[in-house]
Amino acid sequence: MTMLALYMFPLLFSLLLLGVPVAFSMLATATVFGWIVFDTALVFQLVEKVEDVASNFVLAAVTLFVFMGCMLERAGIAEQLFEAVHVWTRRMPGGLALGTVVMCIIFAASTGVIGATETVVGLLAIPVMLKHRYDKPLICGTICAGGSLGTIIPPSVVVVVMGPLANVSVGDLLVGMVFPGLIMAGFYVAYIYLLCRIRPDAGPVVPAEEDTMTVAEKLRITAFALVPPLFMIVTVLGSLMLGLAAPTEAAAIGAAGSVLLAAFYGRLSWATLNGAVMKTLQVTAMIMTILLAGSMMTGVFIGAGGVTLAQELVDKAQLGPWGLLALVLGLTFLAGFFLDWISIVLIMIPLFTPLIVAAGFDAVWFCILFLVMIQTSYLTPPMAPAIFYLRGIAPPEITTGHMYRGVLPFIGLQVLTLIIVLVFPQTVLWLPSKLLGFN
Amino acid sequence: MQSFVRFVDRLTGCVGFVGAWLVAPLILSACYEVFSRYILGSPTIWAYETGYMFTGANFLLGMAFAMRENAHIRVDVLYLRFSPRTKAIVNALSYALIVVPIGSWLAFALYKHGLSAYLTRETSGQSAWNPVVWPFRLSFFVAFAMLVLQALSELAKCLLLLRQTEPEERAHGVLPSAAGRQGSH
Amino acid sequence: QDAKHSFKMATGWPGGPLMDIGAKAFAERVDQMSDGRIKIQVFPGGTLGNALKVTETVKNGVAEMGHTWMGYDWGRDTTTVLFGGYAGSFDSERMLHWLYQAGGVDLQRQYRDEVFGVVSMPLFIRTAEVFLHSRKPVRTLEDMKGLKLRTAGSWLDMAKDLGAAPVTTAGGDVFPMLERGAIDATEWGTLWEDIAPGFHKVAKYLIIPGVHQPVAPFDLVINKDAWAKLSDKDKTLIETAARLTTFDSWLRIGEEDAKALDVYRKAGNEVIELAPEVQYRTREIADAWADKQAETNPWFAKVLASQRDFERRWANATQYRNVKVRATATQ
Ligand code: NA
Ligand code: NA
Repeated sequence: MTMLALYMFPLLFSLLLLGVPVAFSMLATATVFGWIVFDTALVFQLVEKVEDVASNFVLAAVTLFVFMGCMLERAGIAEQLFEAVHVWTRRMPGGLALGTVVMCIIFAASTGVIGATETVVGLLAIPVMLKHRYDKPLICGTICAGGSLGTIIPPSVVVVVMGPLANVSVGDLLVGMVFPGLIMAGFYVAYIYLLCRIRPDAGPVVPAEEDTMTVAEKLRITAFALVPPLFMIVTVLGSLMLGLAAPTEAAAIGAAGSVLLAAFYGRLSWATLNGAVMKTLQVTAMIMTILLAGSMMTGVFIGAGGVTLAQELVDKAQLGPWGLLALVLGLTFLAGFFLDWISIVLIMIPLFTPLIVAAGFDAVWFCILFLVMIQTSYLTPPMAPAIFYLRGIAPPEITTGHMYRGVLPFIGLQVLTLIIVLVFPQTVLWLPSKLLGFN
Repeated sequence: MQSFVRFVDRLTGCVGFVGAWLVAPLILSACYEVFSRYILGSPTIWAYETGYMFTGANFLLGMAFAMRENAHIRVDVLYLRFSPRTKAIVNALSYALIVVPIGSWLAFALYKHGLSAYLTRETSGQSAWNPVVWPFRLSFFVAFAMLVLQALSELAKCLLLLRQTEPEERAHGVLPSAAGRQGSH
Repeated sequence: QDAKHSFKMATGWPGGPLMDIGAKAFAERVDQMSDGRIKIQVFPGGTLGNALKVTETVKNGVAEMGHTWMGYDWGRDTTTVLFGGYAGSFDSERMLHWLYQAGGVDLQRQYRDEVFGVVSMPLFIRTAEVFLHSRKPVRTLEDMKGLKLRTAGSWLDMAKDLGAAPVTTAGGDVFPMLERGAIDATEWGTLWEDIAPGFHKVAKYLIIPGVHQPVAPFDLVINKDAWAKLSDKDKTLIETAARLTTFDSWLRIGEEDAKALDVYRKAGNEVIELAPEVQYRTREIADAWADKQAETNPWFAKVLASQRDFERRWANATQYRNVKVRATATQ
């Protein structure tokens, strides 16, 4: 029974390689193996998963952020916003990509749901970067990696699930991930800047002689194009920070704000609005169908003894503390290839946190390492949700090859962050000790 | 076959349109909840439940539409190198062997799931509003029934294409959307 | 004749005491009592099926066993609230007596069988929960007015009658909302169980006792076909293991709660006891709610009658069981 779970992957990967849509490949794998495990009761399990995913309130943030992105894009506000960024950063190597990372940080601070940050910023930033002839792999890497900040910059839904499982305070985790998240974002910024310094064609600058715009002109463009959208984005973030709204509600305020903004610029028409609504449907249906099928497949994987398998592996290995940590993080990385985040957390954290703690490590620190690890896995081809989401919003001239090449350096940067957190646990542990509590 | 394809594609468009516009009440209800809680000091009893219902029904009703628009993404490393004929074969098989049978099975089970909720007047038990759950569950059934219909329509398109483009003349064929494009555009 | 069995158990829990000293402790005890013949593999909530619909998961045979809280099913039938505990319930000591000595267990078995089609028995019991982790001090009915408190289930209805403004949110949104003040307060579990989520690190006031949930018995559900396959001896074994696990959980939580209070005090929380007027008023609201349910629901009426009979019989228990001691003697 135990090995059965392993046989799921040859089937899944064959279907995927053939080009069967990701969601249907997972659905097929879930059904074939689910039949073996649950027999006819399988259908009830699948039905429950439909209800489970369809009744998940926090997923509303994905829909709302996608709508915000589509609306700003259709109304031309996205382009104008990034053009305004370009006005100021045109002389800086990779300026637009850097602006994109900053935008990702801002959106990451307003939502904690996987995929939301990536889709909204991708919709906003890709067309403009393409127009200015940015290197396509760089565009892809920036969007995928920047988008993945959504779960490591608070708030974060994953961490809320993780806390009680690991028997640590959600607050410690939310505050503890601030520095690792910022370190990671800092690496992105430094990398993009250096890359475009060394290879100017990756993020082209406008030559000095062509940059004839006066400061007054720049300010005028900024006031018109940059200030109103930024004001809206700050409102979203502010409503969250000031305690007016829950994270999901802040996303709704942003969605409403994008419609008002389009009206403010006089670009709100039936065609624009309906276009944004229909495009939102396409993107969210694509993302959530993968989530649904993934959750079905995970349920079967667990029912087929996948958990026992992981546990036996660790039990048999008989490793020292660091070896154990490496094995657990390695398993996490692999699990991130085919299981959904929440399930990975649900399975791995209760299973391994006690062992890790018994080996003398800090639970909060381990949770953050774990988080960085699934984030890296989330970015790593071939099964990379980050790339699936990008595929769903990117124009066809960006190929999967561009995406695969583009994420590689950023995977390296995430591993670097992981190592820094490994070597300096204080990056995680210092801030919560200062910020939380009433003493 | 042609008229079946046209009919289903249009029906999917209508269902998708309705599902897509659920995003409007989703936005409005969440914004109203913030207003009501913060300004009026009295949270609504319904915003949480309408929130997940609109979100769930939105994406479920969009599944068939996304299929029509070829928006369900794939790992296209090999797929892009396939000939249009091979693509059509892969697609025809995935509709015929995966989506249609599993989808029908699920649609039937979801129908019974919804019906039992209707007969027992089951309520959600998730908030003080505590609404009956059958209307929400009806959207599960409609979504999967539409997915199956759309898969049949796509299957028909693939078969038409395979009949049109015999192997020797495939280079000249004019291809319907089902077999051709990658990605979502 | 001693057959081997291997069962999957779905739960509603990600981890924590419900998992460790509830579902898993039960599985281990069954394993030990059956000399390893009966193996139960416990799955975290949300992995086999929906965490809130364990009963359905078990009835449909996706899992042979399940560990859940009956109150999750109140959308199907409100009688579940009487077995799961609500603002009108007696304390955990009385609940144990009602269940095991005054016919509660039999009623529960009969009810779950008839209405939900599963075999059911108590497994795990909670003592009174924390009433609120709050950003504002709450003592009196006046303090309750307009208090934005996050809660779930049937208590939402009753909290409104106390003057509060109850909020329903996704579990994942609760922490950020409390931290930022989008809500004033939230309820969660018992003193011990609430240390892990860490609400006390962002909400200064700890309001006790949990008038909304003086007790919470949890529920072992078993698929009828799976149950039928067990020998009579094994059925008794399962029942005994469940009862022992329930008592052990009660003892453990009692002691851990006592220790937990110190944790909160050391963390700088202020512990506030609700004024008697709030405690009395809550019970009145709950009783009125229960009376209303009983009018239209025969099962509810039957279980409520049994619980009220018991309570009348125990009306003088505090007088003959508890010796009065000056508060200063225990400080
Ligand atoms: Na975030
Ligand atoms: Na991956």
